[in-house]
Amino acid sequence: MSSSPDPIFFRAGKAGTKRESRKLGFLLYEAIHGPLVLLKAVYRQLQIVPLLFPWRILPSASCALSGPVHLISLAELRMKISSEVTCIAAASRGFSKPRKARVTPRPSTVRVP
Amino acid sequence: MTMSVTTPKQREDAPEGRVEDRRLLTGKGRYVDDLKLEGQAYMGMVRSPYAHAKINSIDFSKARESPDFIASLTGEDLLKEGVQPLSQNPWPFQKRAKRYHLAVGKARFAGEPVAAILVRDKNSVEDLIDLVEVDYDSLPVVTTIEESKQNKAIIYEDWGNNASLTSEVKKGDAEKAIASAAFVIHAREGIARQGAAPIEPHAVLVEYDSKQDSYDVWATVQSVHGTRDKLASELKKPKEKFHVRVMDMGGGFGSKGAQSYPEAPLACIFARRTGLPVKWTATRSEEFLEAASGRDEYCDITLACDKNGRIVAVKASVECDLGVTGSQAHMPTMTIETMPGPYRIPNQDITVAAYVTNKMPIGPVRGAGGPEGCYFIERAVDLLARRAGLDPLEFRRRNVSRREGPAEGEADFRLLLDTLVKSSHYEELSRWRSDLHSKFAQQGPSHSSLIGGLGVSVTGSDESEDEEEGEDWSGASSGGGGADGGSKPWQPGGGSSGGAGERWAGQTPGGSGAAWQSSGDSPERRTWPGASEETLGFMSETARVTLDKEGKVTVYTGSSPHGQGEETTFAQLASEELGVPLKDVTVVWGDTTLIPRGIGTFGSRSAATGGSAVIDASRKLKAQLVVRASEALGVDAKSLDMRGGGFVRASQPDAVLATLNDVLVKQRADEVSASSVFTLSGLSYSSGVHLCALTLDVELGKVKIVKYFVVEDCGRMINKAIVEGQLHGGVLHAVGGALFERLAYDEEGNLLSSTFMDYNIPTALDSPEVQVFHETTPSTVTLDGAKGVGESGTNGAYAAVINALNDALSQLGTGAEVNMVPATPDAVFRALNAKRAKTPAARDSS
Repeated sequence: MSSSPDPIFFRAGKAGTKRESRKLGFLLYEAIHGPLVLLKAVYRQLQIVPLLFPWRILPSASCALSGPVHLISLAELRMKISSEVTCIAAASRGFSKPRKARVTPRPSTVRVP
Repeated sequence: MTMSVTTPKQREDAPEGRVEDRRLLTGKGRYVDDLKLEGQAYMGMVRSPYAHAKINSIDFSKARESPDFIASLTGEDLLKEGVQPLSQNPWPFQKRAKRYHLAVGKARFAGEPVAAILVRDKNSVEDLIDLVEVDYDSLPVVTTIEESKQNKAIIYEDWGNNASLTSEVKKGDAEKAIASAAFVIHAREGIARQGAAPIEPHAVLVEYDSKQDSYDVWATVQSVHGTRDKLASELKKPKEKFHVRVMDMGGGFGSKGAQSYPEAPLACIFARRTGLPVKWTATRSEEFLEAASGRDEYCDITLACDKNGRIVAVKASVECDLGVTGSQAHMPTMTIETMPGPYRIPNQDITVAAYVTNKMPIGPVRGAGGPEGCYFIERAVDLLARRAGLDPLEFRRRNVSRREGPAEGEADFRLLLDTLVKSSHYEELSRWRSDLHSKFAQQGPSHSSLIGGLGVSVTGSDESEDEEEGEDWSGASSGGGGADGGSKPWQPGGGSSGGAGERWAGQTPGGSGAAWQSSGDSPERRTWPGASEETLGFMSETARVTLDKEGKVTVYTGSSPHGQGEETTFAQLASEELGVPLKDVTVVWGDTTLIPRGIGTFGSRSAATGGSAVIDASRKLKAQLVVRASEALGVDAKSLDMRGGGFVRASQPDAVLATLNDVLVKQRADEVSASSVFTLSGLSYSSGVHLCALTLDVELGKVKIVKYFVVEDCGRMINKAIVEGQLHGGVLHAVGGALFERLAYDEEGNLLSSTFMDYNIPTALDSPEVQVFHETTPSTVTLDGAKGVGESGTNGAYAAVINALNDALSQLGTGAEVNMVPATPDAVFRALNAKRAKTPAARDSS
């Protein structure tokens, strides 16, 4: 925010710290991946509609719905959709898209007993 | 002289449970988030998704388009307004850093607030947070102690490096003693970062009065006075402008204590700017991301003993991953202070170094260095006992308290250990362990995969050494110990049994503890007698006790209960002293207008310090009432006593001379009161010994605690249910830390455990049945004889559980050990599958 040279940011000019919004990868991401995620989210939103009529997706129902919706609970479906929405929200912030967290935790010291 | 009481002692009329439980268990407790003021708006925090990043710009334009948007704040706005950085406690060891309520220039941990918004509709808060666009440039991230030491990136540039504090405890010549010792062990131990995880997350509600330029603040804090003082300091306003209140609170465990957080000052600024009441309640993930966590300490330790099994030296080097600097970054120094524990070790060389990283700050979490210190020494003691070929219990017995016996008021650790052996049926437990091992050895893991383990730990301190060191932790400027009015320490047989005239003789009418009378003044107009602007320290607390014509007593305390049962404890103490029924006593706390001075509840201090202040004020009040009755009745004060709401001659306790109402009417007083600012002359903490019996499933790496015993000395036990409740909770807190809980970060500084789906706290199914036995020795420094017990269970349980686990592992003969907690099933599994036996030499070289 402060444009004047500030001693606390003396490392900011180093290689690898280029503003993310100007990186080609980010621009491509914005152009391609964002809309794809949106489409996926819309598709999943549409998938939830049949769940408003649970009797129609019971295995014994005469008019069974095809696809994997049978196999997942409402809670699971909601979680999946929520995660997509979260992803869209992160993408909408654009410049602040964080790196995906690694699955493996890192200990606070390499000399962990 | 030892005043040991071997059975639980509490008054016969003490309540079975706690007086606050009816309210709390029937859903009548009221919490900050239950409050709703007319027209209140909701604050949302925009948090950094990066652990270390330069902030280029913050764009609110999309958020502003929403009709729900009201206002926004950034760090730059705060600087323009002249808001001071977050307060830091003035501990001499730690470097100070300018950390602002909202990041200025760069974010230093994932989850750090970079902007705040104010929104009309609660349901829109998260949507509008997502519309705030922040442009970051990521910076190299420091997530380990090694990276911090190597200055991979400088987190506070004005420091020049990432070292935050160093400290040491030295005594004798440890190197020389180790070189000539008969038995020596080296070990490396560690405790991962653990959250406080209170049920109720942080919350604050602020209403601004523009006419008075004052703020009404409701907050989830363990100290309303600390919060008020910080708000005044950070916002540069007089303290009187802030009326801070706390309601019922769903736990704190240290994380809501003296740590500074940005949300309350930000809510005050929003409230003043907009004129709207402002509320903020943390989500569970925000609580994990920002509330100060604890532990994250690692220790290289060398412990040596002579051929008789007497410890001669300890040499230890502790390192701590501090995260960014918080207001209480001195926790690791508490670790090395508490590490020698109850053992009289003639040669000590203990050092600590703490480094900042791009994680949330470390702060006090139940025990605040005590569990770490106890774990490090007790694990090493277990290893050394085995090296010397001694039973761990016998080894400890040889090394606690070598004198003829403890001094008055001190715990008798040998007695505690002996009681543990008897109460836990130690021999039977040992047989059970052997039987399991035989079955395992004979039938093989395919038939019986369980092996048993027993682990012991001792928690407490060698109090005689504290006296020798002459260390002053009080921080109080009011001078030496004791009450301002001169009350006497608790004596067996009841603190209120002495003659009233005797106690009155010790008073100084008109002095700092003089009685204060009011006749219906509104709280705002009241002043606190004896209160000056001097700073109260950790070992001081305030209390005021009032009594009206109807015989109703109100206790105002500077302590701030949030689950500890102080409503019951303090009511019991006032009831005992004044001779009124418990049901006629009301306890008031957590209001800076009603109680202008105080410290709060944390650090196992309230029963000892706050309780002493209540007793002191009650004694002054009683003395004052007896003098009033003496004047009204024309009877010598020395022959009078109070009983059952009336006045009697001490020689004829059944003949009531006058009721309280009679005396007050004659004196034309509606209410009488007395106050106390009490300062302890020394620390007063409970001690205890723990024994854990567990089974280890070698196929799954799963640990199950089957028995857990504590023998403790909490001083005089005011309320048995509360003491045992504190120990149950404390042990479970440590069982969680020892086996389940870990705040895990990845290499980019992302918190991987920010929900209860990922952060694994023990459930009821994982909770052992904790059996508590008491060997109480009343404290001689507190007026109620109590010693602080809130953290005692946590301090000892880490070591007992891990020692038991390693006892089980040792039966496999592979040399497998687990010295890093939490010992999750995968960690145990890794240790079980270690192909190379860890010999002492190998451990030294690792």
